[in-house]
Amino acid sequence: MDDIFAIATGILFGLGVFQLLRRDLIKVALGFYILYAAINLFILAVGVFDGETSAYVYPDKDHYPEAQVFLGDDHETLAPESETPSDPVVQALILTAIVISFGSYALLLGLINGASDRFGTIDADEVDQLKL
Amino acid sequence: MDSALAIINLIPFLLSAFMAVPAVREQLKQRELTWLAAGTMGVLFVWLLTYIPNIDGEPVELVIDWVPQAGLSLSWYLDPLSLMFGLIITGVGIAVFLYAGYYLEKPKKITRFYAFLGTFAGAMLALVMAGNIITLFIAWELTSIMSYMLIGFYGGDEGEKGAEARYAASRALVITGAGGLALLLGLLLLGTATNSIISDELTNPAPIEEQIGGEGEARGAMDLLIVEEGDDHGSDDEPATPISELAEATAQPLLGFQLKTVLNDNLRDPLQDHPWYAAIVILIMIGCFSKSAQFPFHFWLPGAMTAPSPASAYLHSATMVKAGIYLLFRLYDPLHGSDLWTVGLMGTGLTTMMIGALFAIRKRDLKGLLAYSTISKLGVIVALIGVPESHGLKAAAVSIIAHALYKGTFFLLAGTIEHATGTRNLDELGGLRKRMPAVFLIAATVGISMAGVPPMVGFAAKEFLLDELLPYGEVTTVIPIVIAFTASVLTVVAAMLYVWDAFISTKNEQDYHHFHAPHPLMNAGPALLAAASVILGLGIDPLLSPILDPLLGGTSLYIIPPELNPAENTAWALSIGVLVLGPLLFSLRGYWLTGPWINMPSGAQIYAGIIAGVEWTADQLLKSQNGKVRYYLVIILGSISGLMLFGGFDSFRGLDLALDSAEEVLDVLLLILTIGSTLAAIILKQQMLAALAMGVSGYAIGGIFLLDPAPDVALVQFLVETLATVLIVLMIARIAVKQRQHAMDVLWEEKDRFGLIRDIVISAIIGVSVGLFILAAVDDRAARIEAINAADIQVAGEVEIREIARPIAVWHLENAYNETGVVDVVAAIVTDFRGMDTLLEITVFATAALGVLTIMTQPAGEELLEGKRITGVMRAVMGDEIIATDDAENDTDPPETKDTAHKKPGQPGPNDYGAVGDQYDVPRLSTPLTRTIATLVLPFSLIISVYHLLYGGDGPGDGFTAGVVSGLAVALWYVVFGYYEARMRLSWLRAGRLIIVGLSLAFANALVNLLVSGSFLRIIDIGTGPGDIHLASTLFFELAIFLTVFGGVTLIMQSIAYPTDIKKDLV
Repeated sequence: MDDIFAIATGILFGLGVFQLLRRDLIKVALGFYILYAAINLFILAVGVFDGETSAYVYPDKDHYPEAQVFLGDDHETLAPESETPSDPVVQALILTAIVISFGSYALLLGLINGASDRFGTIDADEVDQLKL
Repeated sequence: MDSALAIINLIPFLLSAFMAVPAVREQLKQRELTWLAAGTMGVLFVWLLTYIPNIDGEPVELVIDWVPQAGLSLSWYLDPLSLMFGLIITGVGIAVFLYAGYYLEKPKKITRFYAFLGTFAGAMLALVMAGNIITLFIAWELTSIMSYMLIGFYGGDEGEKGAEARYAASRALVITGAGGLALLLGLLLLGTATNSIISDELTNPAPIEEQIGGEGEARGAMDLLIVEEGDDHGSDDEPATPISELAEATAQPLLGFQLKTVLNDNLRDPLQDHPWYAAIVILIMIGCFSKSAQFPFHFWLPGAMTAPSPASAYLHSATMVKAGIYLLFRLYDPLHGSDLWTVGLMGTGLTTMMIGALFAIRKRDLKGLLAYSTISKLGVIVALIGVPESHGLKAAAVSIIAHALYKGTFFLLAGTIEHATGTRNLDELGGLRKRMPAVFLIAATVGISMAGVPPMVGFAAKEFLLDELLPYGEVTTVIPIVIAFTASVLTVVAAMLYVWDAFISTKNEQDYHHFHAPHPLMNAGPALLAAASVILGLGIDPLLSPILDPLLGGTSLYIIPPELNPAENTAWALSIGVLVLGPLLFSLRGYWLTGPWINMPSGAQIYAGIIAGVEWTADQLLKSQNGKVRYYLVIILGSISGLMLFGGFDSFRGLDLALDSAEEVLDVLLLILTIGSTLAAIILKQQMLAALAMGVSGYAIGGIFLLDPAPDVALVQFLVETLATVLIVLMIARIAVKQRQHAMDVLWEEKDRFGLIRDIVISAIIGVSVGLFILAAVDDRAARIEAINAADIQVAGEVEIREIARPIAVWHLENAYNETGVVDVVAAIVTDFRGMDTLLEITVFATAALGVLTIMTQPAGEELLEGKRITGVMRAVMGDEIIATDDAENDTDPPETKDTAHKKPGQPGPNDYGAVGDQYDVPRLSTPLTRTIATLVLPFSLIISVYHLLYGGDGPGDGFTAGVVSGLAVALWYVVFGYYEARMRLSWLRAGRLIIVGLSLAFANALVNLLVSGSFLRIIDIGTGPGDIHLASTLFFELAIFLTVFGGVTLIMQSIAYPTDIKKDLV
């Protein structure tokens, strides 16, 4: 399963790069967006273990008995029979990355809009004067 | 420990800061400014003088730890050498600061000059008193920068003068800066080598007998001198601390950058055997030579004469150019003795001395003559430091003092002459003796000192020089003495050219129509220095030995040599020869002061050639760039892919494509959906449809997150995906249909099959390499888990090993609740463990939003070319007004004058507001149904946001989610109601203020936590409050995140929805 994930992410990456190489600037922006997604999936894929439950850890047993097993003796941490929570570190990284990528996506689209205003075209090859 | 050193060092900087205050130049007069500055230097001079009685012993030190882990400290170190330079800097400083005020006259120029000069004096003091070779380097660079500022002091002037000053300034900076890089490398190698020697010594201590046994050779220069002179110096004679003790005494591992360690006598032998020794010496030499204007770096100094005369006197003669000499002197102990040292210094020094002396006498510009003469003298000193067995040090030290005094004076007088007559060309000067008798007297005095006539201090310098370059001891050739003799003769000629031609000769005497007699006090500074030349010459032994004795370990200083019989004292005989030949050669100047050699290239042309070469190479390289930025990107991505492929696949064990559970099947289906819709986004011609297809792909990814299971991430992904889709649809809608159609046509009707195939191949290669990289990473992950489990089994009980092998995620899972009281581990990481990340990320997000605002409110085309900015629009969107007000009317036409004038503000009506879709020919979205929904959604979304904020730690959702949820509702408003109505009805919503409050709150939260818990951003946990709300400082942080993200999203939406000038062709 992990390997399928890896291959799929690689394909997404390739698709993103292909979009980046288009002349149509909107397609380029979409290319960036594909890459953001691919990178997030990559980070998710390299999380240290596959989780079975969400990364919530309750202090008392009533909530999630299986989590208590996890919280207990270290030896049980990665034992297959306990319910492993998903890797919280990669999730935290992706969480902020998603919001940031929205911000940069907006900026990118703003730039394309500016280019359209300024040069009257959104064809990258026709924008030949980036300096004014 | 003597904190006075830091204060002494700080004072010039304070003076500089004071002078930089605008009120100072408005309130204080020329005289007050001048005396304040000169007085400050005077105080520092006297203060440093008080150190003289105690300097014969342990150096005075002050160490303030800065980054002890990297061996960095702010430290000061005052020994006889530092003190000598410190006294020169402050002493000459008195004269120069006093002079400058009367030279520049205008308070505006004076304060600017003092601000630069004060910083320079501070940097120079920091350089000579530095106790750490890194801080020494920082001070070194600071002096280069100040030199740049001062050489370019007149760079703001119109015309050739300004251009020349700017060129000279940048040339000096390039040369000394490049030398500085070499020096930095040399000093780092020196410090690192010292560290390695110390640690070797610690792990492998040499027997104590050996350390003491090798004493005779291992002792530094100072001790050698003591032995030879037979002068017992008490405290100096104690054996130096053994290296091993030194390292043990202080627990710091990185002592190698402390000057005290580097100067330890026991270090010299291991350092000279160190494999890096040659590199260290050569690099440090390059740095020192470039700073001290040695051949072949000498040519920047004559150019530096564009600086005001007091700056030339101070920086380019008395102090800064001696920084290289200071460092060579400073590192003499650990580095001297090798052939490399001797040959490098003597060879360079003697060459420079000869070239400088020859070039000096052909110069007719007073300051040019002085500059080359300075170069020559610096060469002398460098050569003297290179003389084996420390024989040259006495002459070097006396030369440094003597030269600072007479050459500084000469530079100041050149300024006076130029000030008075308007020229400093010797061919236009003459007979000044009568007009300026005081100046003539001073010039004659220092001229005698420069020529080396007794009883001036200059004579002593020359006498020691000739004496010590005589072939005896290790100096076996006559070349040094021949060069020194010739250069001394030429120096006499240069001094006579200056004094005779300008003051006595009447050949070129003119009326000097604009003669402008110098202010009497303008002579005070030069007179002070000239007097010092005489007094130090007459009383050389009592006055200089308190400093030079501890520096050189006892030596005889005399002004009249003990043996006056030329037959017995060769140096004395040579001195007489110099004084005879000099005037003789001068009287024949009519013969040699003509001819082609006067215009011989001086080396600056080489620099110009190198710079031209660099520019040419850059031009050639630039030709390889075709201007298509996306192919630059390919090169970057391709290189990274290549690096990834080299990463190796140690743990690769073949593909495992089996699906073990229903969840995994679902996962694969979602992946297929993601890739499929992404492919659709590529294949679909219409940009709008492609964007929608991307939205599908994003939701599929959200599903993948949900399956992980990562509910927090999935929630944000769904929300942001929605927002992003709205965003791109609006953005595309703003671009004219014609342009979009054109771009589409160009892209799809491209006949260039080759280009398409090339792009496919490029992306395939990059995709494959990234895929392989991920495969390797994922496989390594499996291997790692196995390793951890295996480690568990093998070393049960040995917790430490597992701690090392355990991933950081486990640590977070185990500690999240205990440390933060937050159940949701992801929220704990976002708000606490990696809170700094979050803090910076919301800052970035806010910046991006502001960037969108800036870009979207920029005027287009012609208006931008004219440099206009629609600040009114920007202000309007930021939240003070709804549309651009009258202020902005000059820049942009009000929207209602356009052909889409049916959108009039102030006349509300259901369909007259021009929803975004309405403007851009997208089916109208503003129907009664959508309007009702939008109105209802906003309060609901705000309630949801509050819920997420309060319970973010207990379940999915947090500040980010809350911000995006509310932002989404606002986006809906702008889509449905259009800009005007939305802004009017949401007048309470000020995006800019939200961002400001949010970011301030975030940083305040971080800082308050620092004060309360001692750790930046660390959580302050209060406990569970009413309604099971977890009361902790994270609440504020989440609120800050919410406000920033909400404000950012709102700002982006407002920027996009603002109906700017509609120029696009609506097809």
